[in-house]
Amino acid sequence: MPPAADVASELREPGVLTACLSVVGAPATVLDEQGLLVGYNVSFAEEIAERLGLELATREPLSTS
Amino acid sequence: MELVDFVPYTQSLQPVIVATDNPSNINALTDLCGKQVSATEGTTHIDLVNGTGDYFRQGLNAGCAQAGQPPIDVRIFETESHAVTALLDGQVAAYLGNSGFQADFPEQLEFSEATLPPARQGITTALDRPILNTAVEATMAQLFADGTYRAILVQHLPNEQSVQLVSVLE
Repeated sequence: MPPAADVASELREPGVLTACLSVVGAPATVLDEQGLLVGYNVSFAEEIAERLGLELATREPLSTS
Repeated sequence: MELVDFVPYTQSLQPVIVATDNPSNINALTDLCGKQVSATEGTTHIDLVNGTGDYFRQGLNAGCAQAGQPPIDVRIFETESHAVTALLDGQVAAYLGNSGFQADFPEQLEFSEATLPPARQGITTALDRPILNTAVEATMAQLFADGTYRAILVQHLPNEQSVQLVSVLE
């Protein structure tokens, strides 16, 4: 695992892992009643961010808009 | 040309999507020969038809030629939405792409019996972020090894069969 400082040097925002998640439908990625992204893709992204000590910020990719 | 690094973490079967009641009778991949289909620019579905990229010399059109049938006419669209709209408008016999669109149009679209080879989904990072890619790859390796990966799939998928279909570890 690379040192956290090295990972931080490649982040767009300090302390934030920005991830694009395409809303492809349940159970992978879907919007819940509150408009929040849920699904296994979201869970993987959250777990990766947490283990890297980062906050997760999600975006939808432009290609599916 | 490689634009991103790729860490595979799930896979899926890819049913060929057709209009409801399957008017073009697409029941096997060879039924696509000689027909127009839609796909999205930059996707592996185009390689799969033409036998390029990951499917070099293994394209569906090679199968059409062997069967003495005309090739599949793949129409390439800039976005997934445009590719699906081509099917909804009756311009093409099938859409090769994101199966999630069937759920968006359940009255107009259905899955045919024809299924494309399994495709792997991955986490991509830009090539100019090699350290981030290494960190993501190492973290996914942890998730695979400590059981978290499987636990997440079990949490979100309806049954064991679904987990085995989606998991890249099975």
